[in-house]
Amino acid sequence: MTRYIARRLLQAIPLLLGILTLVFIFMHAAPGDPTAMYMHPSVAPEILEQMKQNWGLDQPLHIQYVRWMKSFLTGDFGYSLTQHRPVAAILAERIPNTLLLSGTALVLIFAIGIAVGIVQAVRQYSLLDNVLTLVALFIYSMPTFWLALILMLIFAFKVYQIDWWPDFLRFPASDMTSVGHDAMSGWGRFADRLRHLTLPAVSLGIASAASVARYTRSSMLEVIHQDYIRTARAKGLPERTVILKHALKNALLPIITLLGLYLPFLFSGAVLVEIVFSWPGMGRTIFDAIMQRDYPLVMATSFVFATMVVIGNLVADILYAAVDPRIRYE
Amino acid sequence: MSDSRAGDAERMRGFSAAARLVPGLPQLLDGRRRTGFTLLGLASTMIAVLVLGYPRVIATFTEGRLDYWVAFGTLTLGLVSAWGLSVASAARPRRPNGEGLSEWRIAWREFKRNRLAVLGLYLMVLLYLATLLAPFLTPYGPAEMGEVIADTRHLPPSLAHLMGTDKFGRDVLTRVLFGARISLSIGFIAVAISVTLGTVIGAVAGFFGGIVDTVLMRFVDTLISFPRLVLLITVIALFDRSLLLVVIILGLTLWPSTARIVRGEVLSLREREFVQAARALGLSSPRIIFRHIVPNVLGPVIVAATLGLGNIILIEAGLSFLGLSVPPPTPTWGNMIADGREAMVFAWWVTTFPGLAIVVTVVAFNLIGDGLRDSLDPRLRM
Amino acid sequence: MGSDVSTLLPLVEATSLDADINALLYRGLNSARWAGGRIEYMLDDLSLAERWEFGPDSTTLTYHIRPDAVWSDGEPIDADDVVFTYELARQPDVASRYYVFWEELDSVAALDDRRVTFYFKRRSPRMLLHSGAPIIPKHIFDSVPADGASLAGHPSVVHPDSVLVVSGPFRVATMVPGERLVLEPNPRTFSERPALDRVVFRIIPEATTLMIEFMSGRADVIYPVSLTQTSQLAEATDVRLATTGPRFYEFIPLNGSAFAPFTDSDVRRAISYAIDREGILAGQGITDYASPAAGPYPPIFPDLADPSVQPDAHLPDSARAILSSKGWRDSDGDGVLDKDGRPFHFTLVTEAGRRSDAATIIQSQLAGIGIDVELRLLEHGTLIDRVFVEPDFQAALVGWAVTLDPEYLVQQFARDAYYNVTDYTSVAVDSLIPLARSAASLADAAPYWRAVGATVARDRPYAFLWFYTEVAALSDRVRDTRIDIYSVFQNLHQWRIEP
Repeated sequence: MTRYIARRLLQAIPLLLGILTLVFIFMHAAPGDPTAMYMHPSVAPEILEQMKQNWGLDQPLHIQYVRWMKSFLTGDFGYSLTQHRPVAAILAERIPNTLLLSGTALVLIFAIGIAVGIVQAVRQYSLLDNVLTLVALFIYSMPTFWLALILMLIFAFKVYQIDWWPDFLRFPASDMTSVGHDAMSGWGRFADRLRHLTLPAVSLGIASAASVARYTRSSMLEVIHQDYIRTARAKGLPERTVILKHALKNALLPIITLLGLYLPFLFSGAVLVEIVFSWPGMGRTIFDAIMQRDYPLVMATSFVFATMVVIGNLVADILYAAVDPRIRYE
Repeated sequence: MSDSRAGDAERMRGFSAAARLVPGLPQLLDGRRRTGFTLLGLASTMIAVLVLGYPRVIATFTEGRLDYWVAFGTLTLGLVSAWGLSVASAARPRRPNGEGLSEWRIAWREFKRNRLAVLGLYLMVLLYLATLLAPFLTPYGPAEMGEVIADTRHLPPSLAHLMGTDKFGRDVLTRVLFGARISLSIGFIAVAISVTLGTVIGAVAGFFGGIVDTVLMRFVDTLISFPRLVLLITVIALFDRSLLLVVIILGLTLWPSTARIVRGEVLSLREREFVQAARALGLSSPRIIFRHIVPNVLGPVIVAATLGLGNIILIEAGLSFLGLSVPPPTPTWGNMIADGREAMVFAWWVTTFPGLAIVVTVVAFNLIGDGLRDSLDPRLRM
Repeated sequence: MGSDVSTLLPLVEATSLDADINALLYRGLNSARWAGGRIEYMLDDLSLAERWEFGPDSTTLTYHIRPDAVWSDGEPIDADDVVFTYELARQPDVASRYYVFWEELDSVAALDDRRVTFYFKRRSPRMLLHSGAPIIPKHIFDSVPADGASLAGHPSVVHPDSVLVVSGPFRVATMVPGERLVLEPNPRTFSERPALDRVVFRIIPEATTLMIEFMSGRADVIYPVSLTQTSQLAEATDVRLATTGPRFYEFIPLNGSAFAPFTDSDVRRAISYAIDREGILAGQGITDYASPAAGPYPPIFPDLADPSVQPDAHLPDSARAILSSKGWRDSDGDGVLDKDGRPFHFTLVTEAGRRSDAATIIQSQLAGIGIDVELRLLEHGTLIDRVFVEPDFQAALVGWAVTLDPEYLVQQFARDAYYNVTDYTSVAVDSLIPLARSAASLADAAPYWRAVGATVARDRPYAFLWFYTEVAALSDRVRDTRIDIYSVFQNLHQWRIEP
């Protein structure tokens, strides 16, 4: 297994370099450059030219590429052209924020999704199954940013106008912490973070939770109808044991591959959710960087995204092997 | 006595002859209520459209625009088929259950048994009818603004504007109807691309394993790991923004997820007895893949495809939010929500109706997909 | 706020927001203020200098730095800091927007610790402007290489919490990029101590979110307010809307080299007549915050805006008549004008947001006189590239910030100027510009600039659309603000919050 992981990680290196090369080509092929934010009739065009020179953007593309690749391979991500500070510092600040948000969302996705899916499968075609299916579908079918805005409108705005509404169910609409965060007690800080985390994480995760529920239901149904489950039932095992022990383990097999699939999905969803809730994470960073043509920052954020996805896939594959003994990795 | 009986029979015959002319009635009398109501509903909808939208139906001949002709064709076809199907099915004797049914017929019977799936099917038919009939259903044009914008903007829903008006005084209902065309077309093209590619590549990778698997899956990994936003922005910026372009790019970037699902299924299938047997018999690999493996992974693929259909509509909405979708005044549900979001606090109707349209559509696709899955897979039949 | 401050070092700042915030942290030798129609330079409580004097031939200007001026780390602010700042601005590698200040400057020299003299190449109305750049501390920045990246990357600028060395009334308490910037009073300020103990600037990119935070009382000020939300805020109680005056203007450059009919100024005039400016602004509900534009100078510059040049009225019939006289008729009855078998069809590029709203209405208004406009939305960077960097467009709806310095017309309308995207040439404009530039004072230059503005307005290289103001929404708790076209936060140190 260790050898397998090592091999996969080695294989990931050319993959990542390939992705980065593609991103580099794509970004530089797109029209526009980072001087756009300085453009104004009161700014002399020579200044713009000088900026491009300072940033090395006047060099031929292949030289820029080699130069970037060299510094990247020595572990230097360069300077952000728009934030005027080392890209590494930006990443160090933003990655934990995004991990916090998407990690929370991921827990929500699988906890809610699998639980609901099992209930539905066990009670196939019952009223409960149908209602849950419809509710899950309804939520799944809402555009993320619309759902986020609606949640915000209700829980960060309307409920403030309802007198009897309990305070702990009133949420802030933006940022990771309150203005007075630093002055709070340890417990208060935790609660404050949690309150700020709730709406974004729910907006980001709930749609995927609905789809995990769907996959879990399908997968459970498939398993439930297989012979060995019938056998287990026939042996007189209690229904709970049959479902949770025998059926669930096999039903989780395709669900676990979803883990790898949800990572990129979460990140792209994070762009929207982070903008709506002004959450200072990677999604907003990459979006702003692309829009402002902050090349070093785009490259670095792409690298982080791609790495996270590669690791996600690897984890999914390892879990896959762990739950299904039929799959062997040489 | 006998006279009156004969008269009754006569009346009955007269009645059933008359009933035959009303679509759905023979079926209703026969006890096939669902078929009956469907046909009756279809016919009355068409007639209602014809009556209520009369001036615009007539305008077909003067306007001569394509979408009017399409709508006119739909109307005619709807009426003719409601009547024709009714007559045809009334003439056909009812088949006793479970006798001499083909595999597809069994699937259809299973499908019909799933109420949610049928609901989805109805919703989808309704959506498509609404899309096709759009010019007859509303007196406004999709880009038509109020005479004096200041007086007609953000009007709440009323009889004149069933869903209110937006910031330019445009009728929201009209835009929802016309937006359906774009939003519905988007899904199909992208999904067709992604499902085909994904199934083939996933099956090949899973079946052969080894180096083929490694190479293909690394390729899949590359595509999955590639930040799609970079790709979309570049392509949209480089080429002139067109819907087709966005759709194709989406199709080309979405297939890897299908491929992974298919591969996962195939990995466990290839160890199963029937595949081993086929191999032992010396069947060729393409034959095993397409005849024995692909049919067995169709279930998950269909689920993935239906989810994909809705997904694309949702992604389009997300792109609209970022200001990267189809240019105005063409309405898509996504850009309607994105455009109306600043008014959400005081003009809820501008975003709510297109939002609900998206939800209804995506729900419909998913219900159908679920139904298909349950009915197509023999293992799931009870 | 909708976006982040890009740097806390004025020398390399990019946006007007950067300039507004940096002015709270770093001061220049003189101060400026908007005084009923023109910018006025003076010495006040916030200026580093206590006195200035012009040399005998008016090409030198000497400032006396006030004795109590100290940096927030206790070092005195002296003439060397001024010379250092100006020398840096002069370096091409720094790529500072203050580089243009050297156009007319010859040198800057320290006479002693507290006196610094500016030597100009010639007499110019902009001497006070050009000597007023915000000064940065030499003892902090002389240790880093003189280039933009190294300066902006100085540790105290990147991690400014309590360590950024400033001269203004405020210093930085904490900065969390993308989330918030907290200012607190600079204990060593030489001006009056700010009334507020803490000012928190929060960065919220989504306008709806901004609004919700404000309406739920979690923010006291929104700046800038999205204009489409003003009507809704105006109805709220306990809120006042403050306008900055017409800080921006928007226009449609009609590019004759990409669409030949636009080379004819009558056709451009017809296009301009077909646009109902009042109607569009009313349609967006922003008539209080925007007004139709006749030319590049907003009416609040009484010296520069020519009252005889009025914005084009909505005259669709005249527009049709003009086009018809030029041979554009709808001969095939398809509703679109044509000439020699070619329809009047062009592409208008713009970007998503309020501009695309306006473009959408313009599209429908032009359709009304038989012009078929294809609307194309580009992403911001692409739009800038297509319109200004390598012009490749037929018509575009774009805009500029209005600067308080009248010269900004030069780069837009002078022959071969970089931002002259439609290759507009006018003999009158080209001969008036040197006259204006060599005038003795801003007041003497004004008639020339007015003539330039009027000529451009009459030639209509652009269809001028409107000026619009920036709006700040303030909760009634916030008192003693002075908000005008100069800046929203210019007297932040005097703001008070009612309990």
